[in-house]
Amino acid sequence: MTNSPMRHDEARDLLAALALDSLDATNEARVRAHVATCGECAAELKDLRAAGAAMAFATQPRHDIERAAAVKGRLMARVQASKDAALAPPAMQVARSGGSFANRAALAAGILILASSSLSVMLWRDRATLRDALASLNERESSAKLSTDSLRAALVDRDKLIAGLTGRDMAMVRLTSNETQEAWALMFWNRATNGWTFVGHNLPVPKAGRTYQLWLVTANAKISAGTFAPGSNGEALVRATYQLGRDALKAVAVTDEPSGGVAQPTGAFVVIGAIQ
Amino acid sequence: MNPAAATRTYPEEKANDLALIKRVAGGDESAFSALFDRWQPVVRAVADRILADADEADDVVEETFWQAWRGAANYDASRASVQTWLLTIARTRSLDRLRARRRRREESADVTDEDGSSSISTLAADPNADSSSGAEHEEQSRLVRAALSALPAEQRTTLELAYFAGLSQSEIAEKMNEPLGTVKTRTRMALQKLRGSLADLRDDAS
Repeated sequence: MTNSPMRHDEARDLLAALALDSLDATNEARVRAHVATCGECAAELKDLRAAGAAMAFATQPRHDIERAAAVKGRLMARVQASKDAALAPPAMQVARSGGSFANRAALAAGILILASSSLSVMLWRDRATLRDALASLNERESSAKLSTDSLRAALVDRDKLIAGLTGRDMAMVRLTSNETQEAWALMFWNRATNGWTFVGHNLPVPKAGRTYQLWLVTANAKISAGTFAPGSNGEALVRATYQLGRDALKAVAVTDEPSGGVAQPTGAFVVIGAIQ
Repeated sequence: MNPAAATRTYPEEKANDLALIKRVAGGDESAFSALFDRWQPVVRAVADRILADADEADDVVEETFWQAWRGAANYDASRASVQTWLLTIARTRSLDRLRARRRRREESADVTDEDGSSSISTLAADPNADSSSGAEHEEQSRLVRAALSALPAEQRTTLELAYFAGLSQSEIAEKMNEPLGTVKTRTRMALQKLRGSLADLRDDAS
């Protein structure tokens, strides 16, 4: 295995496998490095990716009306909730710190507690608002059924989030950035339910065609926990469910990757943190 | 051929998608709703095929469109069509779940065959598919299935193991008991043929 630059003809032969995300990590990095400097291969890769994506149509499209309606209801509730959140005043302000390592460590610990508790307070307040709105709609009944469904979905969603942050067997990882001091994040791991809740702050918006990908790092593997893009305010919330041994987690990281995500991390770290 | 589909052109469909995604980027919920209605059946089909679990497919559909809502402002049309963008998200999300499931089974020493190798049979008409699917996507499905059917069986299997089972070239070689070089060559030839066949079939259909 080598990390030497890949020749044009060698890279061209592997573009189809790259288009299907079917290359091993070393070859993928080498082909990507070549594509980044070769317009011909970049254009060919784009074409082959489109052909590869057409494989989706090898299975006939499915119209499951009930499931589609349920998913759409949840999505529209999330959209509404995100719009409401964007209009709401900031829930917390995080102080910027200087000074000694000890001071910074103390401040960091304080931030963790503050962030966790502030987040919980904010969520409970949010939950109470949703519950009140739901009760009010229930009283009026009938005509508001669609709105009720949306609010119920939002309430269930928020309940799940609260459960994910307040379990009895929780671990928390703080992620920071070497590049941007303002960017930071917390990963909450509910070991009892295998639930993961990532809360990011002050994250820069990814460049066009790029996305952020969240990774659970163990001694032997980097496990994708999904891709995401922060809102225009730099905030991000990602939830995932993944079973991991109690002592398996070594670190949590977010990397900058091509849209759609990758099988193994290839881009720069946005934020990263080791479990304490 | 479906007459309704024959009157549409692919550039028109791409323009419609692009217009929708621009409105979604501006926070237009009705455009997001339309984008969901338009692509949800295809996204669900991919997730269903990869995961063979309707509940997990639900989650993938939700995650895919939520990512589309959050990422629409960063969508770059010069890099990929809306179709490629959405289906890549759906496939990546589905394969993430499939690989996590495999890891859990490997950890519990209960490895079962879950590599999509039986998927060739799905090239035949799917009895569970709804015949009232959107005409243009039904037509596209017909074209892709025809193009895949025209490939030699070993090339088709290679493509399906890569796309639907998310296997690496090395894993496919091991699965098919073939040299790695052979698998790489097959992958290249198969995808290039698929691209060519789709272009020809689309020309015939338009």
